[in-house]
Amino acid sequence: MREVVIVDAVRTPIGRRNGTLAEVHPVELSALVLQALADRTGVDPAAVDDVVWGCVTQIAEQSSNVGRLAVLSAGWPESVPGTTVDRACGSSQQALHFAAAGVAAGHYDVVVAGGVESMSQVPLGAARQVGKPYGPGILERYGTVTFSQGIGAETIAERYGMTRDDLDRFALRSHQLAAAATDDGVFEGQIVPVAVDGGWFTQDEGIRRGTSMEKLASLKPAFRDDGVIHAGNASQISDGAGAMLVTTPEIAERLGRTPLARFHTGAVAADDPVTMLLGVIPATKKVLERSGLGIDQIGVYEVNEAFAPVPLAWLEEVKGDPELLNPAGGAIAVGHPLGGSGAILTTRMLHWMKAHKIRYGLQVMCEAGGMANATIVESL
Amino acid sequence: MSEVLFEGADGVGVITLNRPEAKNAVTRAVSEAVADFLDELDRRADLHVAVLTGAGGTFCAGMDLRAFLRGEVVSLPGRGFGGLTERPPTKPLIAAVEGWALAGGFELVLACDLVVASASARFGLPEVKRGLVPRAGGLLRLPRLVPRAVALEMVLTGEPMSAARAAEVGLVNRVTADGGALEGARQLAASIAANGPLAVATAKEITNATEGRTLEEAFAIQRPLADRVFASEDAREGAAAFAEKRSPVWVNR
Repeated sequence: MREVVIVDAVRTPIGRRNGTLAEVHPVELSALVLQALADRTGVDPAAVDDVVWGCVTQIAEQSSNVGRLAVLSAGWPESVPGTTVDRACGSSQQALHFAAAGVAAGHYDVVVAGGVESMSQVPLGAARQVGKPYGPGILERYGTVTFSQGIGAETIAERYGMTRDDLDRFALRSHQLAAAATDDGVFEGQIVPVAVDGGWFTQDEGIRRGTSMEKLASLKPAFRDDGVIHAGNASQISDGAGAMLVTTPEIAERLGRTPLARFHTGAVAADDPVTMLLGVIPATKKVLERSGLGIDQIGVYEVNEAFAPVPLAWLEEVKGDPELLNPAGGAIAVGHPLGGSGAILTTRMLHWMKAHKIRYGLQVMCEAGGMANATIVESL
Repeated sequence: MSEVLFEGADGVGVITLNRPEAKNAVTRAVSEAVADFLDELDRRADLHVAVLTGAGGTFCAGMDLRAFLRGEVVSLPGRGFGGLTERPPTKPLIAAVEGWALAGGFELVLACDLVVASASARFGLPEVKRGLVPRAGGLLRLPRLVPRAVALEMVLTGEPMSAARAAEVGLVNRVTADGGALEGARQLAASIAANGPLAVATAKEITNATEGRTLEEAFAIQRPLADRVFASEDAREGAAAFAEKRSPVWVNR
């Protein structure tokens, strides 16, 4: 098997729903990160064997294979293929796994993994409005239950005895860390500025600098009257894209670039689809076991902040160091543009590892259907 | 697709910034292309005036930040930002503005002689909001074009100005319906192109060359330039055509 490296990783700033990126077509958003990746790495786009692109709600502006359309919109040669991947919220993390597997197996020499979601243009659940995804077998197996992320998050909070205060404190931490990272310029080297009406969009816009425990306490529960989950301790609805260049160490060397990291280990796992969000725990166990590493060897964890109970339950189960969890904040503060989030998280983690000279990083994301992807990367 | 388009017909050149996906932001390549087209405008005897506009319903977002981040020097030595700001053409240039003309994009507008804007066009110098100052002529030209307080309000607040307000303070010659700026600018250009080309170019030259001079100096500067026009074939043709009640046929000498 060939070794796999990630040469570079870029992302757009994350826009709030109906915010600064709302008018930017998701294919355009995708093309921007592709162009930036080629610009920065100096790779000839003609050498790209495939573009593996995560996107969740693949209808309307995100239909007809966003990955291929992104290539064409970027002005890349027509010889570059593209495909679109749906692994729910972990779609572009899965895209990275497919890309890495393709390089390891020799199907690809150079490949781009990434993803996009414009939740402003194609709302969450829009595809379910035009059809019935659950066939009779599902109804028979799971009864009349609809798979609700919110109820899943409530169930986890209850199971782990998390109070509203615990969850809100975590949400506040996310905003504070994301604000501090933005102010310190932590994200500058990874962000692709986007030209929009009124100027250049260069920073994640979901961060609420003025938030406080009091303000979070005033928000009404979103899923159950007696619940603890609300808009303030769940991920925000957003627009954004991210992309990574994946290849072998030899080809990276020919490009004259020191890769950001080696793709060390990838795993995907699944758990009960009703609780939905706890796949992160078996996925982490699997990826650690497969890598031969212990959690104490990992220097940073990116655990997607879909809902505050997810990273908190994960931390408890894997006995991780709270300090190393989402050190620049997460989706509660900056948002979660579904199909783009996997690549955005990896981008954030890789640049963090480089800045802090961290050897191993671990990313894990909960996904609808009870699934989760887990990735370990190693700095070079 | 070219990042800058140029066409010339009926005496009027049209330069279109054509990077709508980047709100027509200016890269080094854009600056070079615009400079080349301005040279072509001044060189070609069949063109007397030009329009500068942007594709895709926006004028220009200023410098391309992505180009800047990859280390590109966008301005051209001796020519300035967008190949225009430090050395505008000899022949008149009209800005046709739809949407935003921001930062360097607004400084391109200020380097034009006339401005036609659509109703929802917006102009601004937001540099101070980012801890920067405009350096492509905004600080130098704006206070000469509008009252000092109006100029400084724009510069110091960084807040944009509407087309209506820009027309009110004299920055904009004509305001059109949305989508109509280019057509409005073409009409304005056509009425300039109908005039004696040597007279038009010299009128622009005298206006610029005498700026900030005392009247005595200004008349001294003007004299040889105006003399050349009065002694030209076009001057005789203009008088003859008027007497004969026909359209003049200009020879630009």
